[in-house]
Amino acid sequence: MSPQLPNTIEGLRAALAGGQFSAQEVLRLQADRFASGAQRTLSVTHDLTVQYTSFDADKPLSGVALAHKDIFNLQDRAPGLGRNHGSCASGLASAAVIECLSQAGALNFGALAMAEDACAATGQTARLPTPLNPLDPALAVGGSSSGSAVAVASGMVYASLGTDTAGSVRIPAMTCGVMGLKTTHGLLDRRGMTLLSPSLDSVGVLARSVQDLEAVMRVLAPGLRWSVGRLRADYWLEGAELAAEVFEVIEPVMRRFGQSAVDLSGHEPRASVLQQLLMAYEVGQSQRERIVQKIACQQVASLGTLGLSIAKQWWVEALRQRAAHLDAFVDVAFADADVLMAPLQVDLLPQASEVYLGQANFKAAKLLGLHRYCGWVNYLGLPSLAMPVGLDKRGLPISIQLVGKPFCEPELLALGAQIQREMHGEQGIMPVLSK
Amino acid sequence: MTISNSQTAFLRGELDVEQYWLEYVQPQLESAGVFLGQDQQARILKQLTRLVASLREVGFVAKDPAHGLEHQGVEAANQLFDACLAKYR
Repeated sequence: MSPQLPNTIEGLRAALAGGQFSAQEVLRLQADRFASGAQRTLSVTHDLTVQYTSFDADKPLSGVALAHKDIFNLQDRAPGLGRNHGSCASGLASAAVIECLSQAGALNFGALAMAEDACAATGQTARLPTPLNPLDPALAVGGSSSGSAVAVASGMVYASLGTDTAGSVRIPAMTCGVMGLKTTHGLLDRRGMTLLSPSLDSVGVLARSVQDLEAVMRVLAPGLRWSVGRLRADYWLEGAELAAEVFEVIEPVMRRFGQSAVDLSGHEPRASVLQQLLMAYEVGQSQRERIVQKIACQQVASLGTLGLSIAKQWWVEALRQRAAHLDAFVDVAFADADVLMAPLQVDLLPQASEVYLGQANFKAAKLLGLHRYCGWVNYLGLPSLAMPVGLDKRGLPISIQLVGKPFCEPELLALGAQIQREMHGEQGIMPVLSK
Repeated sequence: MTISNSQTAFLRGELDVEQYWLEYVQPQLESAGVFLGQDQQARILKQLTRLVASLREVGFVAKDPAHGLEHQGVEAANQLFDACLAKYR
């Protein structure tokens, strides 16, 4: 991001309101920044023409550059879904969440790269360029909201919408050292968003700081209780399968910001496997035609075919048990706490060559590790904030997730802000604006 | 054995994966128009075996649904879950 532009949405608003920048200057600087980032990172699938003539103080995102995963309908444009660059669709309305941001004054600069059909833990694509990680081009970019994480981390935009079915917001955020918020199931309107697994899909937001996440979330979910009092956090680490170096970084953080350890044995494994069941079955149903026609990507074909071999009654039963499992989980995990700190990253950030399919150095365990602790959150419908909390010996980020009760996104952001402030200063852990 | 029974029997471990494949999966895939090569079939069998083992480990049991009422079951389950989420709001 150009050093002339403020680092945060709040800073940009202040600069516009104070007259330090004109609307035209802000538009030009952000457009230049987006274009140069797009070239450098291969994260954009479709550029949009943006107009901005004057700052409107009544609109909380007036003049703020955003761009979103190419899974949302735009006006007169069908999304490309990682298969292609999208297509003209006369009369198509923008997705509800995109329209909501637009009404708040946000500028949408384009559609961003994603794993095909939102069905992979990395951003590797077969038909379009795979985006490059701004931290190091040799590192993998997580998926499926890969372009969103890259655009945010490289400073092309302040924030980006993604979607999360089994970690698709949190994994790319983790691999690029930014924040990723998976929202409560059903909190944000999914109209105009292509669904992969309707029971599990949630809209999410990625940004470099908790403050920018909150600025976007206050627009998307104004009805949440945004006034947060004193918080208590507990943490879950017992039994988690983590690389030693990851454990050494996150364990002190969890002890510092959390009060007590919580035993989730039984809950997490059950929710994880039931999430796998739901996702496989629903991918099989939603992608059946593409699988039959043999035009589905490798991940969709593999997962969807497994899904077609799953009995419908298992799927119904997994759905039926969901409410009881949620209640049981809340009783244990949030008995004394507002927020649960939980593992997200199990190993050091992988090289692209270790987790991209077909690479000589491919390691299946590394790929599986990317989403090992994601799916249980989706099955239970909970909100989760992925955030970096430290660095490994190579200087690369290590992330955890903060999980809350349903609709407790403000609590997650409040604790996230506290961690960010106390550990990394106001700018967060990975301000990449100068790169 | 009916299809419904074979599904629950497999989950309970009373039917092995090859029998389940022949009695349920193969007809299901073929009616959907999906025809697998031997390698693909072996891979899906392995994944299915692993998934079912994990389901058994967590004590997952599926009941035989009342005939024709599966759709109602889905709607009711989703409503129940939405209501459960909403009570925490």
